[in-house]
Amino acid sequence: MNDLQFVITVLIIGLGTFLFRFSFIYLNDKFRMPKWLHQSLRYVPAAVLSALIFPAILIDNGQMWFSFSNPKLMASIVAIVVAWKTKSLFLTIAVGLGIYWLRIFL
Amino acid sequence: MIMNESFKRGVKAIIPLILGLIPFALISGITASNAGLSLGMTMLMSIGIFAGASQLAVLQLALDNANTIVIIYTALIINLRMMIYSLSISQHLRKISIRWKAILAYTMTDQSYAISMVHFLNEPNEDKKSFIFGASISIWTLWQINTIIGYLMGSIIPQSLGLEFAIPLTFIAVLLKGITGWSGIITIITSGSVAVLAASLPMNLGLIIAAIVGIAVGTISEKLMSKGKGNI
Repeated sequence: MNDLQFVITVLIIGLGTFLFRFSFIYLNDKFRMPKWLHQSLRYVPAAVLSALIFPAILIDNGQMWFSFSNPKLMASIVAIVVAWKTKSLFLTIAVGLGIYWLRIFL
Repeated sequence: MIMNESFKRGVKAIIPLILGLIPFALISGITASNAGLSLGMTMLMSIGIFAGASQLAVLQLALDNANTIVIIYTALIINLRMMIYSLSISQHLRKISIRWKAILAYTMTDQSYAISMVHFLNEPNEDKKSFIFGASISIWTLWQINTIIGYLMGSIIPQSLGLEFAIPLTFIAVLLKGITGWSGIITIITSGSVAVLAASLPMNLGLIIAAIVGIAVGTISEKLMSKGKGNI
């Protein structure tokens, strides 16, 4: 791929991604959202975040690894408890990474 | 006017999530430098697309000499979730100028979207435009700076540290802050399980399918549970 092709590719992806982000934010003053849609939108953050979190923890090199020997799973379980008890983002990340490093380096 | 107390609250709320994102920005810069991109091209991509996962996919596919159409298609599928965010957050962005809509849309990320939605649950009277802008512009700025640092440092940071694990950890913390009732827990388990089972689908399609199934099951479970209460 030469530089010009790369620039064009990046600009097309950038424009498309912007239009995804802009789409409904732009349209919202023009259309009234139906009630069922409005209700189900409350579940979007939980659904999307879970769909990002679970594979990041449980898939390793394309394989499912559902076992306590999976260091990410162990660290995540502790992180969930810390997040639940403290509601602190800093503590959750620090304890989670700490446990993960203990498991992979010791 | 925009840099008011709400803006500051947005900046403050996003800081812990940025810490989780910095390794990702560094990796993005390192990968671009390893792929043989110039710093100018790297920043064109980082500013022009501003969506980390898709940028890494572009680099990977470009290295594999993939077809341009395949690269564009893959990157757009990965970023399709932004459309769900746009729909979801649009309820908070009524009656603002088209220029602000464009700015808030362009700078929206997983992190700024999630932290804003959770914050507005507890603070419905927040100046939402300013809060989101505070969160998003902080991420945008630090993403660009750390991409440059990653590019210039090349391979000094060992990959074996597994720093990318900080990203799911930040998402766990945000998720547990915003959880609401049993339907929320059902949504999490459904969406997460579908995402794992569908992980082998090409081009992150599993993510989109899992999110849609999770949203549907969460909404239906809420309906069923409130109906149950009515019967008693």
